[in-house]
Amino acid sequence: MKKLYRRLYIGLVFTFLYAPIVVLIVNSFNQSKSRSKWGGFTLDWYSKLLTDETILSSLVTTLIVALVASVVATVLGTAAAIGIFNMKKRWRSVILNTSYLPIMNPEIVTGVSLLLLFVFLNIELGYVTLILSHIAFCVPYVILNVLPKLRQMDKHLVEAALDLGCNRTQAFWKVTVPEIMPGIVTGFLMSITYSVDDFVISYFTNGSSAQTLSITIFSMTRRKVSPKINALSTLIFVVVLIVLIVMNVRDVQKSKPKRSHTSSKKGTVILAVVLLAAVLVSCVAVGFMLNRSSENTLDSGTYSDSVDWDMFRDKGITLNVYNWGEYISINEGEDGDFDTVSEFERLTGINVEYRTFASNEELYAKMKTGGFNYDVIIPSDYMAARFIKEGMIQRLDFDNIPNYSYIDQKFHDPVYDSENAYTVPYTWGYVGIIYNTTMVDTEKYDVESWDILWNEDFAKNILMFNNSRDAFAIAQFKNGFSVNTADQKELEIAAADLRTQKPLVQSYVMDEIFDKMIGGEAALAPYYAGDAVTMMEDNEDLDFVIPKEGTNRFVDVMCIPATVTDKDQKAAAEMFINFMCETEVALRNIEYICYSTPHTGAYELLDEETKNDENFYPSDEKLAKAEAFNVLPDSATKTIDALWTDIMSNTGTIPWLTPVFLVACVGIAVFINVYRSRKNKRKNEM
Amino acid sequence: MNKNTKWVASPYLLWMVVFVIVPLVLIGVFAFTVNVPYDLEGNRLTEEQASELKLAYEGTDEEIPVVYKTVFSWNNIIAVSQYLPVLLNSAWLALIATLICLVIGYPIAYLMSRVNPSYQRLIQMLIMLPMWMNFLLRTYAWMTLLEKNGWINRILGLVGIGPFDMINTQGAVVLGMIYNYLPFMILPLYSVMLKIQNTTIEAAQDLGAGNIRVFTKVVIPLSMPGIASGITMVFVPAVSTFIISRMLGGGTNMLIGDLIDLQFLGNAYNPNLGAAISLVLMAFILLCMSITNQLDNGDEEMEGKML
Repeated sequence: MKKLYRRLYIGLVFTFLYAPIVVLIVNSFNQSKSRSKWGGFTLDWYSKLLTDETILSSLVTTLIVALVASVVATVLGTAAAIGIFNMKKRWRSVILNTSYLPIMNPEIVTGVSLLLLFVFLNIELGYVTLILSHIAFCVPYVILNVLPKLRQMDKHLVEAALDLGCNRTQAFWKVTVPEIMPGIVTGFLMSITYSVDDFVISYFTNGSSAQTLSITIFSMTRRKVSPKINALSTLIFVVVLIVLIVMNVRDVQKSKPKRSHTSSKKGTVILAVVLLAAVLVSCVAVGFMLNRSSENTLDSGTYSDSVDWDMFRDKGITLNVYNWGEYISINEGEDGDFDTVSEFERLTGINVEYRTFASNEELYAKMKTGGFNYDVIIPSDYMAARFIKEGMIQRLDFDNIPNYSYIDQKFHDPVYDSENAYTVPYTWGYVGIIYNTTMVDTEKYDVESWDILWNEDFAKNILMFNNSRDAFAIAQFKNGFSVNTADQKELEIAAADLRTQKPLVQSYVMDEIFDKMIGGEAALAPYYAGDAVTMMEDNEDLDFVIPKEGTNRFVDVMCIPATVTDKDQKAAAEMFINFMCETEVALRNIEYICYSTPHTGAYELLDEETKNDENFYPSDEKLAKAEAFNVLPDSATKTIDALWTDIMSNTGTIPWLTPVFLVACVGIAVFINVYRSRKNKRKNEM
Repeated sequence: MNKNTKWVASPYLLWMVVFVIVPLVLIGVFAFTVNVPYDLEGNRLTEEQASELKLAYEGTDEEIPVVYKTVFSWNNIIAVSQYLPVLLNSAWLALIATLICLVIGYPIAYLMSRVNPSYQRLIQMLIMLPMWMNFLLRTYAWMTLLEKNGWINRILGLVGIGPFDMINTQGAVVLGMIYNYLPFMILPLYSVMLKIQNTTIEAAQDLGAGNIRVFTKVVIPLSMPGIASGITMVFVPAVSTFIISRMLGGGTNMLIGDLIDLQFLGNAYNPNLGAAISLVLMAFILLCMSITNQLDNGDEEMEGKML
């Protein structure tokens, strides 16, 4: 009976541990892209995995970073351990305690502190910073494993070797190193494991050019994880599982004396790592060979010949393009969608690193932090204005962008760029409410008002913008304020409204909204019209309205950051912008992302149905009350940032609390340690 | 060998200064400074004055007469006060998660250490195996399980129960913490329990101790070092996590980690405030670790006199 309980208990714990793994594996065979619906068995995701450049290249980055960082960390850490071991005791404990700081501190603090360091030293974030920061947190693990082996080692061994005629170098290589080898190997393996698995530190130090698998997965989790990633994880899981089983069976069969079994276990672990690496590398190799076999490309005749597209071919130029999530036509390998980025690479021979962000404020934070080097960014109007004001983007050479002539006259000389010098419009749109008709009774409730987002009948069924400017705008429209108000009182009233709304909000979202609205997880959400249309295509129950109080109308624009100083680099960035304004490209993009286009050529080619669709091109009276964001004075921006942080964190204010808290924490900690060491001393004396 | 090999560590010491000490000093510097506007004569301006000046000069060719200087200030640290509830809430959730991990993990570790060695290895592997899957993916999979139309609600629906609101609650965040950090609790406990000899337990039994007394007087005291390191290894990452709360808590239950992220790469850029929050978090962790170190009688420090 007792045994039964035990088994039941162990069984329950393992169910808990493996439930999500089962979900991952099942979904890797799921034909439907939705993760909670079963659409039939398929192996497609596995074959598609092999042609996915983003996933494969981030896999390569992960492996390179892990390998380089672990090797360097092992050498550095082993040398450190030997040196530290031979130091005087007092020094030893000071240095050791400092060494362990990167792993004793919360990961986020280590990540942030390294970010500050790289920005301070003016090192561009990328491969180098990734590797450096990975070394930084791997070294402590190596020291941690090598040091005990040095302690266990018999000191007389080295002396014996010296007596027998070895010189010091020989004694070191022939005696010390073999003795501490197990520690070195464990340290190395731990480094690799932690490096591959790391997310938090890479998140703060990865920059624009290098992206590890964790980061790729992170940007996917914000919208929708491609089942291809599930397929990759399943592969890794299966390989690890097989290795572990083989290892276990071998151990059971042999049941040798203890010493030799640990060494054979080490051997198998190394074998496992090698095998894993081999499988992954072959995946990548096959992937690159198969790559782009089935792509939908345009005839080069389609492109205008006003610029020389071949100008930068074979010059080794790489452009970092930073765009909103889901804001360009990409080929996900299903129905041969047009892939803008690889088409540009094919046409011009310029390499493009394409990355996405979730909000204007996030883009601002990265630009302002420094260290992130982008060549083309696509902010919204008000953020572009802020960039211009702060000298963060530069004037464009419109001779390199002849396709600007296609941009509708309406979009020339805008408020946000009155000189018409810094920006090229990419899309425009407006904010409205997307709702699920099965959950919102339009007879009973007035959907055409922002007030519905404050209606308690929909408590926990409302999604809300996870960025300050858009969220404030809704509260401002609700109260009849201007969205460009800098008035402290008005901002506080809006903030108070957002605070009242918070208990009703299910979740604050940006790109996550797609998954949640399509899956019927929430009833109501404010969002951008184009994305709403995309969601409506995937779920017929969804509908979209423009609230009568007015709404925000925006233009998203392409710009070049001021950090791009190289002439060719800038010209190449302008070539990218010009490419995006090619009629055919603009058309494919706008059809894919469902926003509205300022490009006259592309607009002409749209089908009549789309042109007359109120959701894409609403009539002027419908947008009569729409207001565009303008850049706010610094004081207002700071107020909004502070209020937003408050709203998100639900706080009250007791100003003197932190210093007291800080002093108390440190004081109590010091007291405990002093008390303990005294006690120990007394114990030793007795 | 003594004197010569001491210098082998010197490249590392240099490394340590640059990559361990300097970054932490930078956090301190950021935490105690602010960027404030001055006019050209060196008079301090308020933000409003600076904005007005900038607006006035905008569009003209003249240079805006505002310069930003970095000056010492207590403001960030004082501003952190209002976020202490967030820290306490994070600590509270992390504490619950840690205790549940201990309650779940302790029996598992004990049972593991008492079965025959080949099973031990099997169970150990099975516990480590999920850690090979990316932690973001595992957390994401929990979303699939917990959602309103997720797997669990569907299965319960078949029996006619539910649906329950599970995702976007504090409970979901705690669950995410338990799930991700449970192995960090089990493994140190297990390695300590291996050292408890069966003969010790039998001796206690022979001397007349019942099951409960054996457990409280022998097993628990002997496993104290494992409990201490398990608690540290779960609590520290749990209290500072910032992604679990975002994915499973829906952003409505902000934790201290989210707050730091928000100030650096998120929606409210203010690295000075972010650094100040980091500093407070570090102090808090220092306190917690001193307390847990107390549990294992100070015999088993990182220095490891036992080894």
